[in-house]
Amino acid sequence: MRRILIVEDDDLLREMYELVLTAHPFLIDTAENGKAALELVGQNTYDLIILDLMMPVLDGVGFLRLYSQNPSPSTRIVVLSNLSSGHELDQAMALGAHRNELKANVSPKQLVALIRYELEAN
Amino acid sequence: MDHRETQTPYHSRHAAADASIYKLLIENIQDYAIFFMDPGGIIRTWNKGAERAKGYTEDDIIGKHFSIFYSQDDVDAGKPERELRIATKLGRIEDEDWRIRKDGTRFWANVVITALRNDAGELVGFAKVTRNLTERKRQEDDLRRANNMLRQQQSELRSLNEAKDEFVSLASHQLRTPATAVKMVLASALDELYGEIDPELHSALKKAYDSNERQINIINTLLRVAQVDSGKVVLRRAATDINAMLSEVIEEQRTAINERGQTIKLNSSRNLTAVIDRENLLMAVGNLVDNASKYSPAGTAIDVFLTKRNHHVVITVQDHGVGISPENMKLLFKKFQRIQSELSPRVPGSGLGLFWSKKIIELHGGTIQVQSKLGKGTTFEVCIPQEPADA
Repeated sequence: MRRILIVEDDDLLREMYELVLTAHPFLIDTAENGKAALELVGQNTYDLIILDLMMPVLDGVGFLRLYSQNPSPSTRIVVLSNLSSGHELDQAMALGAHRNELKANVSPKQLVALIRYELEAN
Repeated sequence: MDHRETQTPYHSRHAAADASIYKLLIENIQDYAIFFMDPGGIIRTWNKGAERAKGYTEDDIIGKHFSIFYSQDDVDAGKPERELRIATKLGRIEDEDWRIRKDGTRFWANVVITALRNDAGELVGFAKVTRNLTERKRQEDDLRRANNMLRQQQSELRSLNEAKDEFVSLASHQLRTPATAVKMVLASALDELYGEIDPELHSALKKAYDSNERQINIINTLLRVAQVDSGKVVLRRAATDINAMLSEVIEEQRTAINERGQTIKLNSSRNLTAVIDRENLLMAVGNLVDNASKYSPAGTAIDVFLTKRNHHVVITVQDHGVGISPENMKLLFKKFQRIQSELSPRVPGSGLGLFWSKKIIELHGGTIQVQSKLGKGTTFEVCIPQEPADA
């Protein structure tokens, strides 16, 4: 089964993503910040990481900076943030994120479609 | 008649008259201090202008050394002597600096010291002409200060603008966050992920979902307008199939248009390419199509035309809707203006769409024009160069 890591600090959103994705054949892990995500990528290999940017403890750019030192070549990274432009987003893309989407524009159906598309692209 | 006898007294009389006229002239000039100094710098003559500029009377000053007009620092630095040396060597010296009046106050002086030599070339003294330029200096200083202040204000404005951009960006993020959670919860409920829901609840949840979507749209538009306003939008141009772009605009909105009981059609006889920012232009044209549908009644058709004119692609969006009155035409592209019409109470919007669209079209070097007849419909025509002007 394809394994997905969702990195999101908002408890409700994390819960919603899990709920939306339970009906689908993906293995889902979640992390509430970049630090927790780093621990998980150390333990598991992910097909896809969905990454928020603005998070406490270690933000998305901080995660990418550390992750990019030893990235997994088979992992796709999609930034799903409510920042639609700016320095952080540019940095995230420069650090190896493959794609970014505005979180507020992504409905549950679009989230599933996005995940399917990225897993197929992988 | 002996000319020589009559000539000599005439000339000497004339010369004497000239000398007294010159003396009168110099003594009475008020705007310039003009006086004579001997080779050692001792003041020998004085005029009204000198008295006015420096405050000394003739009795005060005759026999004094001219360094009396210099500040103590200048005297200590040997400036008066240096100026005489240079004037002796080069014939003249000009200086602009502070000088001291009798009462100790200072004035900004333009000073010219000219060496005076007799026919044998011997130095007989110096002419010193001083102008009081305090007023001009004050104006120059004021101007410089005003300039500096302007520069400082400019830099403050720049940082304020940056702070504003940062604020708008962060505020958009913070506003989107709860709206995103609401969207996910409502969509999950509508998709019956929490269990089956009856039609009445479905309809209520759908209304809440749509309302939340409008809020997200307004936040997105506000941010886009803020970016276009602060000149932050950089077009990412690429050769783009305009037919395909227009098809995408139409397909994105077809469901909503059909739900309003309208039809939409792309009329294009040929493939046209232009070097444009697809994402931004798609949204700009999308706004026009969205407006065309929102301000048209059911049963009407919307037509999108694509043609070519003088190396420009021309995109026309034509509706048969409520139309725009002449007085409202003026407000059309203004920020936060929403045109009132019979349909506007049920038409949601931020009053920012057309303002933003026009800015994006203009960033492409293009134009947007509108023709409308109240009750008959509206036609927007967007004209975009196929190649950017600076290519």
